Amino acid sequence: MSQPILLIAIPLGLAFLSIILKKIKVPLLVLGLLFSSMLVFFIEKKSYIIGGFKPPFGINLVVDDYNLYFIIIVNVLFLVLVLANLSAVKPMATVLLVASAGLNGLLLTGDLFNLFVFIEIASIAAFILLTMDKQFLKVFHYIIIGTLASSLYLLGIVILYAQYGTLNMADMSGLIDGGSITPTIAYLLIFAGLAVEVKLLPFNGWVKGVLETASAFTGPLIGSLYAGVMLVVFGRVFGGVLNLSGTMVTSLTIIGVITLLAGEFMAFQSKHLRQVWLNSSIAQSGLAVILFLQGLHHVAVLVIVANIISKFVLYLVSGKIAAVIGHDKIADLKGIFMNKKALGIAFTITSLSLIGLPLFFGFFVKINILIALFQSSNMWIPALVLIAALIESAYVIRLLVTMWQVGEEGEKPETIEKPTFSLKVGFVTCAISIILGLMLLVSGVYPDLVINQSVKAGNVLSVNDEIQVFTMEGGLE
Amino acid sequence: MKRIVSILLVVVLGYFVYTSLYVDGFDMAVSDNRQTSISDAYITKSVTSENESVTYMESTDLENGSANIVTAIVTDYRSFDTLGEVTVLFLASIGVSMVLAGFTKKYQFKMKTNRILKTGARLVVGLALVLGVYMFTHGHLSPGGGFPGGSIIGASILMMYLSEENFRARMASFKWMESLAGTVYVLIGIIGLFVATYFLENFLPTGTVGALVSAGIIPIVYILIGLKVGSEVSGIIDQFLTEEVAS
Amino acid sequence: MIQIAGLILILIGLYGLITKRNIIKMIIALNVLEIGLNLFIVSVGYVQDGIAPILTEVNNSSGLIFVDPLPQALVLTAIVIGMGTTALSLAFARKIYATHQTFDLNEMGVEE
Repeated sequence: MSQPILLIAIPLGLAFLSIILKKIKVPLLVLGLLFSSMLVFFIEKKSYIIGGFKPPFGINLVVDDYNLYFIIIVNVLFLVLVLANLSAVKPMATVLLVASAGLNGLLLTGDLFNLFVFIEIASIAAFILLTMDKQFLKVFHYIIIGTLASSLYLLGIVILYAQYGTLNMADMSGLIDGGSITPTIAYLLIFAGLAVEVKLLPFNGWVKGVLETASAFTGPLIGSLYAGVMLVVFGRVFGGVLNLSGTMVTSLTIIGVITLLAGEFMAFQSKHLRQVWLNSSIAQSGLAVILFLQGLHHVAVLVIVANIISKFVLYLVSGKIAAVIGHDKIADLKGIFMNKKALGIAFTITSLSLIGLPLFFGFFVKINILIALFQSSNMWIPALVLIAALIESAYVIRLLVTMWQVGEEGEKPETIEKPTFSLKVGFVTCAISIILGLMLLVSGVYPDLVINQSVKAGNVLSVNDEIQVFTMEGGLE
Repeated sequence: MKRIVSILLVVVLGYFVYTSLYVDGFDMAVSDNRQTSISDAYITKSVTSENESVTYMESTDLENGSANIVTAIVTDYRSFDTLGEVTVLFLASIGVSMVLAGFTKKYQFKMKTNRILKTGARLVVGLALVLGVYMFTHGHLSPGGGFPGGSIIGASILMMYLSEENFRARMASFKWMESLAGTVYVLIGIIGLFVATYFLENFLPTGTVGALVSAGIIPIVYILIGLKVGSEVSGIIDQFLTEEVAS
Repeated sequence: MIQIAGLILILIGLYGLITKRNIIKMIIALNVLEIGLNLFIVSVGYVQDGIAPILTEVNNSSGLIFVDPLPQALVLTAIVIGMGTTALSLAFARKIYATHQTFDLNEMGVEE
């Protein structure tokens, strides 16, 4: 019985049960997530009907090359995250079960209105989870913007419904390609609604307040898993369903480019560790959006995968550092990795992969982005993406140098101050970071599998035969 | 100054929306394409089987037996949306009680209640409860259903709070009701998956359109939703009518 | 006509969200926006001379002209979701009031 609906139904049922079975809340949570992360490996790629009515009349779930690997990554990482923070999750067990169902629903659903329902479920779960950080005013800001965004999204799909008379994604896609007039405003409303969730400028005011103070639990959850899933949804809607006209692609791409540059620039200026990563996440979202809008779905998929894994480690480690030391001001973190070398190495691998050094997975992401962009569009987009990559390398290397440095250069050994704080980060965090770091390293040495998979994923959204990718074996194919 | 700028901004936005919806070659107001083929299939209940027309109290054993077509969509054709919607309300009620975790003492109104209010409330509360139950048991026949019915139950609980100074609903039993109703809803879905083929499939006979006992799982689902919404709304009201214990 | 009214309500709500600096007023503005949105959705399903999509003893056949039932089902979902977020944001408002003793963002010292 490998029905993907169980990925949503089982966590939901357990969530409803968990409010009366308070004592075994956490076991229920672990059980539910364990079940989901086992089930994902047995799911077949096809369309699954719910309620016995064929789409477009009923709602269907879609499993294809595009979302299957994201479902696996998200479910496994969700379980890992909960296991790593098992002591902190008890009050949130019910909400976490619903959040897991919500994320799976976002990835799986094949219906535009059902997507709205899952956006609401996932974001309300996020609001509640973020109260763990006690920043009520900032979360309130997020609630207002998030609710406004989903209202705009709903308005957009209702206008589309009025035009095409359907809410099913595949059906809508066919009708739109059929070529009747679509009001521009519907696309813009849907774009604005999703832009809040994928953190595009100027809709990303909430990100700063929420992620700046995120713990080692909420940070990876919101900054890595939620962000990745929302980007996947963005790709599904804008790459697979809507068919944008030339001028609109250009103007929306400009928003993406501004987001990318502004994000990298703000990251360069940030003085706090988590601020750096949140601005970097904004920039990476901008990059993924540019690639989706330009129709380069396969590299956008690569960006999302790399971003989920690397930001997961970076937020996890940064959150732990902030929890142990009490702050995350970079200037005061000098030499922090000297007495926690294993963690430091994992952190370093991840951040070097982020900036795309050869031998790491990020290298293949970066090089394929540039190849794809140079082939498909005029020169200004790849040029600006390259500039953004340079800024990114500058601040990441500066950051790493600070965190490994024991004293000023030229100082005599005896005057070097020993770091006064010892970094007591749990074994589990260490292990997770190292394993994920190794994964980035291994897929950096053998990138072909991941890259070929991403090409397949991109072809689900729109078939493009002229894709050229750079892999280890074939070089430029 | 800020206001004027905002007004201008909103007016410009409004003008843009208006022209793009009603002027530029596409007119939202034209209603000839409104009755879409999808909605037609919902009305004649011919999604899975060819079905010419449905007649009240005559047609039997259709793919869906609800006389109220909106109910048919909400609890059968697009029942999965409704499961999500119930989940949103469930999350909201959990969220309210988590955010207001320190608020445990019952809120004391400045104005004391009097005998007229108390007696009147007692009269109305019973009727409102009956009305709520009536609404969600007849959701497949008449306007209304689980959500309004549940809200009416919540409203009658609110009336009790307002009229009786020392009233405090027994939240533990509401929690049980909420949890069980939700779990049974998911279970019905999973039973559909195993007994029939699909999640949330209507696996009971649908009977005659318009009869009280008809439409298969629809009344059951709506009763569950009504109980769940009623207990959740009551829980939210209970949580809001508290104040922080001074510590 | 009702569609226009819905759009105007949406714009009023948007205006309120931009200008108001009071938490309760922001929640109210959001609700005005949602009501406008719901009005708009329902009006999208209107069919000339259509009746409510319920079979009764009077309107007993599916051959009659009904208004489009799907937007009504969507609105039902949207209303309940709106109610959930409103309840949650009001709870946040109470919590914020308990910490800051005010609902006004200016008095809390929050920047624009």
